[in-house]
Amino acid sequence: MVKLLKFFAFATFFVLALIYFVPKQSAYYAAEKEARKYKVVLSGEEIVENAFSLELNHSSFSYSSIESATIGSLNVKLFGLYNAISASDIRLSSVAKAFVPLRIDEMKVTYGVFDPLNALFSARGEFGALEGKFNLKDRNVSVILKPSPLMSSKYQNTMREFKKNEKGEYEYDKIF
Amino acid sequence: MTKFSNSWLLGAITKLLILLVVAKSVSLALWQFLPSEGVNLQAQSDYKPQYQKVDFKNMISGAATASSATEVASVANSESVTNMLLIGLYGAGSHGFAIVALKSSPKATTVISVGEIFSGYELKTILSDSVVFTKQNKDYVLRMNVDGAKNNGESFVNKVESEDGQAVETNVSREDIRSYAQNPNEIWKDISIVELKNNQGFEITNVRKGSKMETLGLQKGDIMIRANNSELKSYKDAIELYKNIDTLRTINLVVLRNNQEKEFTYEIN
Repeated sequence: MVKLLKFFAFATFFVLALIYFVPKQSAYYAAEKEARKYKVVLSGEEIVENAFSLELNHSSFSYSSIESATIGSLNVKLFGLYNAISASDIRLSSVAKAFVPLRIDEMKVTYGVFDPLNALFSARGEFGALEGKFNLKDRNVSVILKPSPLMSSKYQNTMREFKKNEKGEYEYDKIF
Repeated sequence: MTKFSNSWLLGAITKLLILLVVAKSVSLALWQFLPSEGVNLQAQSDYKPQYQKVDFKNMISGAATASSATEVASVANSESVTNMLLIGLYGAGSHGFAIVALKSSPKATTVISVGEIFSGYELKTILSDSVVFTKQNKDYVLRMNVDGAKNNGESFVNKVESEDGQAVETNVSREDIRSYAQNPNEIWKDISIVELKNNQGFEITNVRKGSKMETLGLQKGDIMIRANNSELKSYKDAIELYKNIDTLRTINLVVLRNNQEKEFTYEIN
């Protein structure tokens, strides 16, 4: 038992040391090149390397060469067992103004080995708040939305995509 | 007394140092393979000036204001020309030209300068929305055909088709544009469009009969390839047009119909 604990302690130390030493900016560039294959590009970002995380400030998010949002701050923490990407001060492109309110205060995506089949996400903004998960095996995304009064009143076309459940929350399910 | 070199602490520290060295070596090895530059969205290098339709009426409105008194006098003392259509005009007073056609053959347009004769009438003066001809020392006024073209927010359609039938001009109301922009789902009830592979444009797969989209002259099978002098071959191009839709006064759309280019001009009132 003591040997097992020692092994985990040394393994954790090694992983943390590796995260500390890895050139995070270059690793981010590699991830960016991979994301480009899926038409996702972050541009104009200021990169700040922290000891165990990477911060990207004032970036512009584009999908399929269409500028879709600006992100004030994006924080990436990749520990292997637990990984999280959190973003704040997000403003969607005016193109989306017919569908949703444009300001998102916070957004977080987490993935850990204790729930290896699901990536969890949550967001909060002018639209209200939402929580959801993406099942990596079934490729199914499910979202529960608690809409703000603004979202409920002015974006009824978007709200029609959600189903109201017995708790009064709005659910959305889709398989990709 | 136990020697320090034999203590568990030194052993642990040594192991940790070894792990640190291994971690650093791995990161250095990784660094060799990782890229040193990221990806940025490239600025559009093939900039093309936006299509602009010259509004002749506005261009001459200043001059027209100055000479409005003269205009009123000219028009008041004139009779109307009944067998002609005034399609367009440019200039003011004794400088400029008019595009005219006979009502019997409206597609056969002719451009005449001041002083030139058309159908026995000599073009004498260009006014803001009309021209004055003279014949046998008598003045005749020919007005632009703008009946019903008031900007009251309702749709109206006024098509002018060129001689070869390839260009179509249509007026649409800004209210309709706003309505579609605020309720994009309504667009897809009236028209179905799919993006073609290899950036070949957008194909119209269906247009609902009786819809506003049908009045725009678009047909099933048309492939939209250009808008306002810019390529319309990807969603990015379409989004760029959509983003500026509130400020546009004119949309010029080129479609491929039966492998031939056909041009539509929509004036937004």
